[in-house]
Amino acid sequence: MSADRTSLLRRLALVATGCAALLAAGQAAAQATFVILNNNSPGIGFNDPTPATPVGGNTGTTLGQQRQIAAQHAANIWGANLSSPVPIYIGAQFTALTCTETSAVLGSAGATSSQRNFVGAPFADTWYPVALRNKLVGMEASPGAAQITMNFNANLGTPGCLPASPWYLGLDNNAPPGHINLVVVLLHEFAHGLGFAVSPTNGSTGARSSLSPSIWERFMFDNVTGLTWFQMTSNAQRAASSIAVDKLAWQGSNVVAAAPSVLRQGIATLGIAGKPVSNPRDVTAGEASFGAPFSATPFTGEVMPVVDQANGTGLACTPLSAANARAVSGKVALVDRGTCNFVIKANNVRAAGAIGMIVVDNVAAALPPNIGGSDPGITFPMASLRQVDGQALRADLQRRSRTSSGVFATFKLTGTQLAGADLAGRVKLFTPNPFQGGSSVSHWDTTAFRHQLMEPAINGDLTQSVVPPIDLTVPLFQDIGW
Amino acid sequence: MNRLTLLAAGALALAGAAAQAQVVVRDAQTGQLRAPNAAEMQQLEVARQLRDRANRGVLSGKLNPQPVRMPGGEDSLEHTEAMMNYSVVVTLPGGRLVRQCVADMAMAERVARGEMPSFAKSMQERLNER
Repeated sequence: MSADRTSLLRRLALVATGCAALLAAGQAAAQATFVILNNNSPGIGFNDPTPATPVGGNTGTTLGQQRQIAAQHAANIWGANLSSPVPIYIGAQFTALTCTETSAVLGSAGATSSQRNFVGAPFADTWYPVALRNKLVGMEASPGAAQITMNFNANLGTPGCLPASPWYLGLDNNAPPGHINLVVVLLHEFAHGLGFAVSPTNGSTGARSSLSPSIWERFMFDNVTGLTWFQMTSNAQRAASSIAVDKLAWQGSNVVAAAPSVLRQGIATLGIAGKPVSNPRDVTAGEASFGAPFSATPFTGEVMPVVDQANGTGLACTPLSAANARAVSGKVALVDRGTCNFVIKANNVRAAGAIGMIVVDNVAAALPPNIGGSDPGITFPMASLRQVDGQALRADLQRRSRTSSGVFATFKLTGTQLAGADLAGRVKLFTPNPFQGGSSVSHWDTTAFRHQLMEPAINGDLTQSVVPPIDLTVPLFQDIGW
Repeated sequence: MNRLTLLAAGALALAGAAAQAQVVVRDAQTGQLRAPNAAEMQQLEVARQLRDRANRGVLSGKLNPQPVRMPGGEDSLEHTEAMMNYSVVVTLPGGRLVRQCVADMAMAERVARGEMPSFAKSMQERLNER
């Protein structure tokens, strides 16, 4: 869309809806002023006149008004936590984006430009996102122009477009199950526009735009080479780093200093002990995305296996037999990975009265798998073990009765390493192999716990806080110059 | 769509409508080159439009914007649609919704049209749901 056309639409929209006062009133008395520029034409998007019932603190009475209020609310959260002497303009619209009954593009956002070698730039020949450049200079590069652009799906929740999953437009972070919390999605996407991204450097190829690094590169520390991306001398080095699983981390001092107050300390561990155990030991455990998390308060339970396979293992993919139910009732059920998902296994052992679950991996791997899934009805602790550790535990369980083993597992945290950080306390960036366009490099790693706003997938337990002790986004922004 | 088809789409993008007569696709069943049918032409055109959109500046709409030297020696680089971050949502088997950032605009579009079941599968595997 051309600048002229954008300007015309903006004027038309404001005149047509009379929303100029509303938008102005929505600006927070904050350290930075965020202004949402309504790019929608009359009658659509931010100007949709469809009546709406106020929800979750959003007082708008039309769909358009509620969208405006939600967008401004998200912008104001950033405004309250960042400082800039000049306004930050967000060119915004809701339009029809691609979707089906089961999937959809929710929206897109990003910085509209990058600048280098501006007056007072902290580093020469380095690209900065325009909103940060404006803050550092104290003057807009292009007065009144959008520094961030956003375009979100106007049809979400309508027939043919994820009909059961509309936007939740409330401001209270209380989206019903299946609804998409617009404020949280906007917080995440605005952060990309404010500079939470490696661009304009290409995260996959490592290629720099016009041979200059982005400010982000100075803080990306590769634990394999001992170099930052800025220090690397070739695109190939950066490309290799972008798929170095578990090895790329953020070395900015503000994030490193804040991480201990945000991320959980200690590695998930199962302590195996009891009379039949010849070698009491601690083994590294995989964690679950549902159920009771590992905490500083250890949980101990007697372990009993589920046996529903001919080879003596147990999948727990169907309701447990009477014998298995008697065995695991009041115990921590030991099951094997495979055939069905973890939620089904957890529900089957819970229905039999188990008080916890340990899943043994069904393939040899360096680390135990995470137990993915979601079920708020599961409240007991769960852990996974590497295949080799699971086999050792099964050996300990050989001399059990039908209802008792004498083998106990303690779910606990050990050591001082932060969940989602390397040994030096640098918070890890997401670097799966193969590279995942849009996710890799420009997000925190998914091992971070507590979950972070800027992980690649938006987790259901996010709050609207963007600062410690909840979130590390603002410390990262401080590192790059905000 | 096979590799040759994609190459043909590239030719379309370069030469415009006049090049349509040169477009060929490899038939998935016979392996032979042939002229595209109407549906395939539409697919190619959608792909061409996506590539075109991806490379346009988000403010000016200019194709492949380059750094511009400003008074005082500052350089300004307008970002393109391809540099935006896309948020997509996919329903996993079992009904769970997963939201994910995707930077590739074409990939986001394909995911949203349900043309990438492998995306949902890889999401499920990455989330270790079984």
